[in-house]
Amino acid sequence: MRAYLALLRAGFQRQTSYRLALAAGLLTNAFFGVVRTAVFYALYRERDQVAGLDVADALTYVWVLEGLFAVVWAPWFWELAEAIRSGEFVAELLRPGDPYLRLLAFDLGRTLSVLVTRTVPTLTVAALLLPLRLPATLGGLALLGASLVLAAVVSFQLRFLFGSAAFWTPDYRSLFMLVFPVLWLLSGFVVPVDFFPGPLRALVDWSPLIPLLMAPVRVATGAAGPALATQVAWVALLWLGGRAVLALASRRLVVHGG
Amino acid sequence: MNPHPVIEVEGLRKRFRTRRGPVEAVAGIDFRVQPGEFVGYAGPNGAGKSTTVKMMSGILLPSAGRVEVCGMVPYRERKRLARRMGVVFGQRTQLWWDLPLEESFELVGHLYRIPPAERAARLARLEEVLALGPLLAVPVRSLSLGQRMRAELAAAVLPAPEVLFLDEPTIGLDVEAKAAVRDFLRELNRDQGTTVILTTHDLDDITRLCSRLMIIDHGRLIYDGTVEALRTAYGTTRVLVVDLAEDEPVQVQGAVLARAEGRRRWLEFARDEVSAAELIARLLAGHEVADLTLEEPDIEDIVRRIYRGEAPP
Repeated sequence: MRAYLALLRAGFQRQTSYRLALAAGLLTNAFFGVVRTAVFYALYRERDQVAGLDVADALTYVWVLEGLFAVVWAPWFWELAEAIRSGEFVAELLRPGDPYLRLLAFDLGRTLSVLVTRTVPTLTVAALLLPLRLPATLGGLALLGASLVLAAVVSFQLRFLFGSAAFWTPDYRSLFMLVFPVLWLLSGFVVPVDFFPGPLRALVDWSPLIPLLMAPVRVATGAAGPALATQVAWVALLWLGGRAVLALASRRLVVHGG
Repeated sequence: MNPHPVIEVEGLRKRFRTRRGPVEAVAGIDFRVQPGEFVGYAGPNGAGKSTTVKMMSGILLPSAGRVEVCGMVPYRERKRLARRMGVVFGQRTQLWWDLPLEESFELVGHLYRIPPAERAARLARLEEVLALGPLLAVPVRSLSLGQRMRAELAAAVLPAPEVLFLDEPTIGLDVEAKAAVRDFLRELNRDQGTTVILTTHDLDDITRLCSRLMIIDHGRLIYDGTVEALRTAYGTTRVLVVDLAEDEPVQVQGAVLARAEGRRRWLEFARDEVSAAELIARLLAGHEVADLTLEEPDIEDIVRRIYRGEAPP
């Protein structure tokens, strides 16, 4: 346990040490946040509600999205795949303990750093300047915090699965690029999932893309219970999936060589 | 002989499926390594060296045969064995790329559950021997190759492994860095009794460090013995290099003229047919000589000839 905590702390410190990247990231989030805010204000000029969301919901969505951007699409997205390709991943198999937990601990350390240094400041400043709908109670804020951490865990779990493609194909990037536009849209990073046509929305609501962005937005805007339950369920399912893939991949590596 | 070898390999084979059909990278090898041995493992590219090391460290499943390290079957008990075995791959890092070296060592300490006081003591020793002091605050990605290799070695031996597998640890290092790595390994083997298996292309590493040499080619062990025995068994040809006082034809009984350049002559002769003293006496009897040197067979040369099949074992 101590080893995993040490990895978590090391990941946190490592990410926090990139000051320039942090400044650049905050600026980018602010810029796109302002652009999106303007777009949604224009949309809501003529009406009070779109697909059940009012302007406060929409603005909350915008700034949670900006806050979570670097957590979900982490700058180190391809790190695992590259380690697999270069053969450095083998080092993970040669250490005592559990490789999946080690990777998770280190990754979570880094995403927690992003949550603390980017998500929280971005949301706080936005909430001071704009009419966002954020929890007003300490309990509500704690639930939002938990939801953001769960989003970070699911983000690792999905990135782990994408990265694992490198065990089977050297062309893992093309594979991802092929599905990327669909993932981008369906995870709600273009417009809220609530705007989708009924059947598509129903489908997406049952996908592991919901915990990444829409669940924290829903926790913030009021529907905390079901959103958190969805996140926890996906963490459990992806946990099993990730471990199964790792077991298969290790088996393949050990039988066929790296 | 010690009844408990630290490594036991018997009839070990590894077959890979490739697009051009099956390839047998390791074609049935047997050997035992006793605790405290320093074994050099040499062979040309693709001979099966790395494949053997991978099977011994548990990251590759043998197609047939038996391998045991520290009494464990590596691929079955990899995580347990990991606590008693260190591995360094020269071209791959096992450190955390973006973390300062110091933090990497701290993480290694936690992963291997080394008590903090013990870790500090071992690290202090390693820092001194490997001159790591100025590097501790530097992220691994900013280290030079030589510095990184010293760091990799330190991380690998920090848990005090019984067996250390080294795959090309001196590749790409300059003379000074090589010397530092060799000094460290020699001391580790002598003082801690760590068993070391060193895979290398650099036969200099082997002659300077290893008590025992194994040569693998086409997946088969073609030599297993001391470096000295190899030299006497295969290195029968010595060369007398002579600078004559005058440019004239030379003929000495028992030697063959291998090369001539200006007034210099290279005379090859067989160790078991004629002694150097005898040959020099014969030479001086018929020629005026300005200078001469005797060249002993180069281990590199011998091994190259073995690879080429010119000196079959």
